[in-house]
Amino acid sequence: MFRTPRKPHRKPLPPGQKKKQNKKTVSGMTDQVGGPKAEPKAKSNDKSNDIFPGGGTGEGTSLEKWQPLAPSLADNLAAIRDRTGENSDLIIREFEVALYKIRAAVIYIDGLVNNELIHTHVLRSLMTGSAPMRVMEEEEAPECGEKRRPLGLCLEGEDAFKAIKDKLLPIAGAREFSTVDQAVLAFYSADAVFLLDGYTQGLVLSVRGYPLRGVTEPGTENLIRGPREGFVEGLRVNTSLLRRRLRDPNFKMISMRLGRRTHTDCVIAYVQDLVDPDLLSEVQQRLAGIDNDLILDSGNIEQLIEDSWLSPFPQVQNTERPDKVIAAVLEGRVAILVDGTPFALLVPATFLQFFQAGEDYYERWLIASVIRILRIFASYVATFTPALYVAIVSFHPGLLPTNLAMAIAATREGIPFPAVVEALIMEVAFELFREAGARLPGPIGQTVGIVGGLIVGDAAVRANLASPGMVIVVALTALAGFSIPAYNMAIGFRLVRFPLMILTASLGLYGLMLGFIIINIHMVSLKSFGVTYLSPLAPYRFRDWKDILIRAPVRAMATRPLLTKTRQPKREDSDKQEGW
Amino acid sequence: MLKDRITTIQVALLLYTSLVGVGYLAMPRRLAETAGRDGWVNLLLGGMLLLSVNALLVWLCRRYPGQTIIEYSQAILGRPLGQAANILLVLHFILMAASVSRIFGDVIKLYLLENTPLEVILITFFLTGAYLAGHGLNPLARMSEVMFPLVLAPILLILALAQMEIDYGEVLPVMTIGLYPVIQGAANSFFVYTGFILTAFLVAFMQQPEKALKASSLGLAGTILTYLVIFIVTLSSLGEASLYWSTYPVADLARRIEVPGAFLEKLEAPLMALWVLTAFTTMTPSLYFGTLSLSQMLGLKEHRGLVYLFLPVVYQVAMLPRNYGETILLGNIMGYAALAFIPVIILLALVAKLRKGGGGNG
Amino acid sequence: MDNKRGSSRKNGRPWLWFCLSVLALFAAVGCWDRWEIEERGFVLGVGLDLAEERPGAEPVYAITLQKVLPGQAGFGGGEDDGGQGQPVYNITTLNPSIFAGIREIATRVYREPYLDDLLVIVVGEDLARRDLQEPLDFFLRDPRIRWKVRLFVTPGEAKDIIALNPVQEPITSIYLSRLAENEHRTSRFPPSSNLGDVGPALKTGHSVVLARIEGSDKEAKLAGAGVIKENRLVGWLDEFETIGLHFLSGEVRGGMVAITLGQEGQAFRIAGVRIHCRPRVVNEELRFAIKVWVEGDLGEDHQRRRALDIGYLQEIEGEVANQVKTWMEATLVKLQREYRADVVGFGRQVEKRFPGWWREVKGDWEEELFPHVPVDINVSAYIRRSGVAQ
Repeated sequence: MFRTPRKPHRKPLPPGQKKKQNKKTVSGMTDQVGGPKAEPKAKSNDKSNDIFPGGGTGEGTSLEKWQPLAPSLADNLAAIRDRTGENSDLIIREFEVALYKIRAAVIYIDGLVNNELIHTHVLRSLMTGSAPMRVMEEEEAPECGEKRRPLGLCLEGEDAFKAIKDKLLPIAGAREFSTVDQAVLAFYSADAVFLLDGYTQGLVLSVRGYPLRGVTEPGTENLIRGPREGFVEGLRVNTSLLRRRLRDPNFKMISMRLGRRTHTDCVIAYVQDLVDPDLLSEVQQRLAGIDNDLILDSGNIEQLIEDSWLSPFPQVQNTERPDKVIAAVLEGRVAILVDGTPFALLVPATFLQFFQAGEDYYERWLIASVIRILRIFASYVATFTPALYVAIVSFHPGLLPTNLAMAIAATREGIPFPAVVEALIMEVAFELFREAGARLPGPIGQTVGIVGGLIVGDAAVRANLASPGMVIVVALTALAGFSIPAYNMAIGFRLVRFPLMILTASLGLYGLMLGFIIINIHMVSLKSFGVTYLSPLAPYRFRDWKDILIRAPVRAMATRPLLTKTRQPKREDSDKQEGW
Repeated sequence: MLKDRITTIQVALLLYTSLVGVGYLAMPRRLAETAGRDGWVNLLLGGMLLLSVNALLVWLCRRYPGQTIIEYSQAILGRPLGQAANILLVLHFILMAASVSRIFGDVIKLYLLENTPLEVILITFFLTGAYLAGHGLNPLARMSEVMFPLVLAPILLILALAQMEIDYGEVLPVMTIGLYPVIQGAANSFFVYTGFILTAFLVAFMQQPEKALKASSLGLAGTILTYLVIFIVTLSSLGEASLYWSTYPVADLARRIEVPGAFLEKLEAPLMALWVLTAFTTMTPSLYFGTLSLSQMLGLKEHRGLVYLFLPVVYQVAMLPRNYGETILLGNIMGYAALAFIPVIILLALVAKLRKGGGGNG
Repeated sequence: MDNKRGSSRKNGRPWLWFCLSVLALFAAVGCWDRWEIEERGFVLGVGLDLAEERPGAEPVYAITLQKVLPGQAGFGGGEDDGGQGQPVYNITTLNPSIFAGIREIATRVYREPYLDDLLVIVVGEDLARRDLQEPLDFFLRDPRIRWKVRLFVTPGEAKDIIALNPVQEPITSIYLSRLAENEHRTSRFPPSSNLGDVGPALKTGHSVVLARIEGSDKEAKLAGAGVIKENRLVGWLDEFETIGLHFLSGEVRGGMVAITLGQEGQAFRIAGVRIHCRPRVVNEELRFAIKVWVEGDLGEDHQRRRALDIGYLQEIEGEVANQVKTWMEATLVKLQREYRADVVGFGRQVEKRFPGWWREVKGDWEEELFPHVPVDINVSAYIRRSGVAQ
């Protein structure tokens, strides 16, 4: 990676436009986040260049507009100041390299870097190192036979920049760069930038040190048994959590930056010899196709890469748990980690995977199987109970035993609404309680739940606005909805039950079945990254059935799911590039 | 158009779910009308006929790999004659979709929605079917996989619960009326196997066409077995007299069953609800393959939009019968149309053999 | 495949939206069958009587419906509702058509009668003796009426049975249907006396039995049977003849056999009955041989002999067998000689064994052949347990 200073600089690729390059970096293990160093040059052919001309930090302009570093430090600093404008958190520290008597500058964002590192390893190393030190070192090693060449002796013959990089800066991550824009991007990405007067190159120093939440238990996926570590907002922490668990050299994490303005670091993690190459390139192409200036969470990415954005059902799985990600990549799936969020994405995702919780694999199989069946049952309850209630009460009370039918009739006497209106009111009310409880701080949220559930429910019954049966149905729906491990799936079910109720209100049980059929048609036609959504239920893959309704004993699951490997060879490129 | 590929299991299940359809509610009565207690012999004989015709059909399809009957019938018989046979096929699919949905609509009106107009039931049913048919063959095949357990569930449930009060002696005496009426009845009862012609299309789409015979025979044998068990259990549980007298003996069987300690009192309503799925998986393939036939006949590239042109015709035919008797007549016409395919298939096979047409290993 | 999917994503799935909008339209416009549960007038019991009969004209039925007021019947579960007022409301209407009669009640009751939950139908003797098929046709034709609706026939007026005021249960129909659930504890009424079992027989003209019910003011007694032949009631079987009938047909599900041995009484609880009935031709003559195996427990013994004594137990067993045989023979005599009604199903056995011959004699079976068929009855009884007192 050595590069002489006078060599004409290479044009680095603008970050946001990595359409082609990722294909080439697939094979290499580039476990580096960001930084232009790892990026081979590629011709930018993205049409979006013309859409976002010259942003505040210079990216987004076409290659030709990237401003190379000038030989003069002052010019460079002026150029940087020109780009950043007045920014209170930007620190530009100018100083003189003691050994060479050359002006230099360190530029960083206050708060994003580790000040201690800058003090001791950058400033102190460069600002000290005067003549007495050389003498001392010379005298200290006379007995070695061969005299060590004292530092700085070749001052005149040697290149100062190279010497500083190689000898004076005890910083692990130091990469060269050569444009102003790279410098700007680097210090905004929490690196420090070192510039030396007289050189058209600079150094990006990895001295990140921004505040991060410690690794804690995941908030959304609680387990009774299993690892307690969850992802945090720092990408590097997250990748370290993964690497610690999977030491396979085939486990690759390649990085890319997304978001035209946020420049969010993302990592695609997979196991080289397990993943289907088609799947991998599909993921990369979809990610590369993202052209959005705001990527704050993996949720932004999910919506931009999923197959069918009209569907109420999620086609990308998310998780806060490193162990879940490891399990997924070992099944041949691909994980996408995004800086700034603890939620990693897993693709492809099939319907039944949303009912698998990590605990299923840590608990003994019989218990895990029973619980999983319970969850799938819960999904049916959450979706169909209110509609079924409407169907029975308004259309087919004959289904019920006589006593029960008359009990419901008695409690509904005096209620002014038809069952469907009653159901809609109560279900909407429940959604309100849930939403209010979710947005309020913990203790108050619980209070809202209790107030909603107990007091309002009871009052509604006493005021003859709802029947006790309806309250039970609502409570059952709510409980069932919460017992689905994946929140995004649960919310899909909750959404679906409203049209179901309306359909049932007009056509009774027949309407309910029609709704069921329509949901099923939708699901069989869904795909997630080339994998049919209902797989392995449709098409049948009996080998994979060990891990859907039941969770077979670990010994019986010696084979990896066929899901991602044995796809039918009928993918076409047209699927991948169309309007996100 | 032939890019879709379906698996072996999917072929079997698609055939099974298409054949086990609306017919089974009324099937025991219609068999009892012609053959009394010996209806199951009819089923068995008809089933054997069915399996052999199917084997011939598969042989024919394998000679023309990747082609549906619409395409190779023209290759075998020449364009005018082949197109004539194809028109028959399209009419058959129209008739099948119409008759199935009409029976469906009548049953739904009878058991679930007394006052809802038949038009509403049929239109919603057709639109849902078109929604699936518009997605193409793969979702159709996957749908049959998803629905298969749900088609089977009510049948198994009823049959299991009926075991509590059952006298298999009702099947006796066997074959007292002699062999000839039974054979005659077998031809009459062939209507229950309407839809077997789907094989002529499915083989063209198979991933492994060499397993076509196995897959289709499996699907058809499953159908035959299901009908046999339904007939025998219904007869044994209700008695011969009830079979004659009841409009939908299988529903009456459900009506008769008491579920011990059950939450649901009336079993026939949930049965009817699940039966909606059965009817759906029967109607949709005929809708899809009807459209496919039509588009292949006309040489169109894209056939999915055609469903919506197809629907009004099917709807008109479905609304033709004025009462249940005429609905049954419609079903009978459909059954005879299915029977009429047998000589056509034999003719196709003979001509293909004589002309040595087709490149496949026949 | 993927090609299609790609394009549909671009177009935003027009099919889906089309379907959804049409379905939404229907949802907005129609709910033709919506009939809220509390708006349904639950009818749990129906009484059918003959109101008047003129020769040459359709008979007029007196149809009594028992409607339940769920709020009054204490179904609400709350402390504040239920209890006040009558939980049931009986209404009688006269009409030559059952269907029309029930529908016309809409002129008097604002909640339309709802028959899905019908539990019992009681038929008065006058009507039953005239014809049963006509009045019951409506109930057999309506797909919503359950097949396990109990069918009773009463020597008096069905209206009076429906109007009973039982102490044990505020709703008479529930009381009556609960009584019929005792079929496992006693054999004194036919268990299969419900719509599903009787209906096909009525359509085909087979002979069947219906449970007989009698009422006093606060109670009903469900015992004995009415013999239905060619769709009309031809006579009654008393309680013991009904037990005998059950032993003949093998339908015994429980009950007692009380005997006296010497001067003292014993009671035998029936735990299980197996029956074997087959026709055969002996000397050109059709005979029936019925073998019955009864097993059960000794429930009560007034003698002072030890029940461990095998010989003594055998005496009791013999007496039980005798008793059962006596009942069966008495029933047979009545069915064969008096009513000429083959309610046991001997004809069906003949059909199974001798199908060719059966087709010749089918028409004459009940009137000509059945009354004269000799039946050999052979009963064996076994005491399996005799309690803890010796």
